[in-house]
Amino acid sequence: MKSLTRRRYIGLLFIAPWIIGFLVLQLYPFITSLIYSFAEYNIMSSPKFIGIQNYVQLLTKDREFWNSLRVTVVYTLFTVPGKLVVALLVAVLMNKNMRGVNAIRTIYYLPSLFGGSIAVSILWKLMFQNTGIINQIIGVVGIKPVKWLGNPQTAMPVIIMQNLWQFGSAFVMFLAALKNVPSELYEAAEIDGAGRVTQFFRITLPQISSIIFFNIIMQTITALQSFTGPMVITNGGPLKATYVLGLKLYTEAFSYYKMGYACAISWVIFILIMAVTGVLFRFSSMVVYYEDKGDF
Amino acid sequence: MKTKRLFALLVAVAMLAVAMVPAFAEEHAPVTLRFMWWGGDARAAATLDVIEAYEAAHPWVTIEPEYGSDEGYQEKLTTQLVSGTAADIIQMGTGWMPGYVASNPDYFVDFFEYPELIDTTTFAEAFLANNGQFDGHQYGLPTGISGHAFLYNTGLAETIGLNFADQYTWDDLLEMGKKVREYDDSMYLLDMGASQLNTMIVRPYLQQLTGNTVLVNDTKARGFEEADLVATLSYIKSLYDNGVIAPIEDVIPYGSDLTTDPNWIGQKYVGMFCYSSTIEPAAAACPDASFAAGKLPVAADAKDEGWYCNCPQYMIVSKASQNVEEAVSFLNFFYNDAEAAKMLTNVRSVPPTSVGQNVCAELGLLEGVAKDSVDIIQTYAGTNDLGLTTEEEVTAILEDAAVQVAYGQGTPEQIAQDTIELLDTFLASK
Repeated sequence: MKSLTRRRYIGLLFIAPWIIGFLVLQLYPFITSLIYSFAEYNIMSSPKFIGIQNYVQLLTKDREFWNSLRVTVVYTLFTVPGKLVVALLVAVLMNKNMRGVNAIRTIYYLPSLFGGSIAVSILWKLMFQNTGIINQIIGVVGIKPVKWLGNPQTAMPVIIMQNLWQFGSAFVMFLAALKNVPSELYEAAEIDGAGRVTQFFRITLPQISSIIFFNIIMQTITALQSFTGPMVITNGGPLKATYVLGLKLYTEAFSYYKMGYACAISWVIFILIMAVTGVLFRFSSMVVYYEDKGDF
Repeated sequence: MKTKRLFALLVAVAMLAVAMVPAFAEEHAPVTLRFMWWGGDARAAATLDVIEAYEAAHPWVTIEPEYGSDEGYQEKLTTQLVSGTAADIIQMGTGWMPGYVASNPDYFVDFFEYPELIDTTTFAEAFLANNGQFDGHQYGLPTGISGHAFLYNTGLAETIGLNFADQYTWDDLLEMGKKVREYDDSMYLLDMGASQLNTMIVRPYLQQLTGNTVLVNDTKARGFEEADLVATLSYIKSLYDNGVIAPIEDVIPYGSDLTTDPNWIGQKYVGMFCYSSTIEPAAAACPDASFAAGKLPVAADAKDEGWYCNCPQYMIVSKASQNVEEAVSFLNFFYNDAEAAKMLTNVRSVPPTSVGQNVCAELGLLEGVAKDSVDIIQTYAGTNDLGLTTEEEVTAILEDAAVQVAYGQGTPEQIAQDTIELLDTFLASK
């Protein structure tokens, strides 16, 4: 009995760093942000309770919020499917036994190692400047320079492209999933006369559908929280064309010191993410194949 | 016997040394200060030299420099001030200071409380009173004498026939812009981004039109009517419609640092509005051209000149510092030591102290566009609009309005209505 208690304490000691980290760095800010979202709080003085005023202001009076929501949704709608299609295509191509395939796989994964880093965003900004390398390249084939970052219509595609370029993590998961598809299925399909395209849509896609679903969820959550690219490359401009919700939240909190208002925005983003995730899960059983029928 | 004497001598020396150590340590316990500033390479190099010189003369003091660009500087500073983790010595934006003082003046040390440690008599009294002084408390020390400036390419101006040496109006500016286009339709008179549109047109134009600052600090109300803002935005529209200002989509990717715009370097723009503290780098970015500082536009019937002389930044000492006295002493060296002045020269505009000015004069540095721009700005007596008008949110609202006009997103009337609604919401929260 004594030994069991001791073992328990040792076990708790091992997981203590995670528990402390979770309590201090996640749970505490999570609860505090909910409380502050009902307050007027400028960081420099004590918070003042104002009920649901922040939410009313945000949802009924703040036109910028609806623009940011629209921008974020557009960004998500383009980056998530785009990234998954590119990652899946590359994974299918890399799922072959050819010479040097491991090196090529590593090269494809490299951009994702940089994550959403500031350095990559600065580089992207320089590439798409009026006199940047992209305009120089298209100039070689006679195309006039494009004002990528100065034009509200082209600024968002630049930000989206930066995200698409970093498809490595989705690619690695697709590759692992492709490796797990039983080869007998393809052999049986071949005997039945199914072509490559039919095999892809009838065998490959259903077999890796759970991984596709996982990637959709993760990429959607990440896209709805996007910040670094829009902040560094365009600072939300021009004309707020890339002013995503994450950037609005940051500006309200740290430029205007409306911490309570920013907390309300963060809760709206949270609810949005929960709603989107809930909808995706609701419809997942219709398109995702689980060998065990999805029982957990 | 000889050995015994030598041993006794060594013991005596050792005892003396041991006895002296606590006395030395007590007088000069090791001190570490953090010094935070933003700025370009030249400013960083000069400031690091001053730190090194101070450390050499005060070996018990270590100063850790924290420097970089102004991107995100204020955001970081605010959280540090609130959490009590700010650096001991801080370079502070003049526009931010009124907001901080209004929220909590206890963030900052009042330099007047340390007359034995810092000599403030080397600053002109009136200048000090208008720069960094709040209700008689000197929370900030100005880093230089500066203000808005206009830099122009003298070669192009002469060829095209433009005169910025004599006082001119906003209408004259428009006409000069048209002349530039007639001379060469690939050239523009002005290089302006969102920040310049606000600080160099919206604010001074409105102030000249109404005689009030955009937002009035005392009444916490707007200093203008809708028609005034419509007139201001319509003027900006006319500048774009007539090609006086370079197209906004060409300029906006360069943010507030217009000197990196290849069109500026390639002499496609005749001039730019800037500050005395940034005028030298702006001229240096285009080494093949010669430049001069010009006058600033003032309407013929201006109720207020709209332009005024102030300083580029303040130096402050955080009240949360564990070593306030050492930090104040360092700033005394920074401002009043001739050697430090030789290192700093005019990296933060024309020095504000007599010591710095004398050194710069001896070095022949009180010449050129920076000094000329300071001389020019001192001839204007507009009302200082620091405070509500310069708060971040208001700045963003006014910049957005000007940028919408620049992109042709709506009429000046529509944009003015939206802007007033946003400003009124802001004022209601004050």
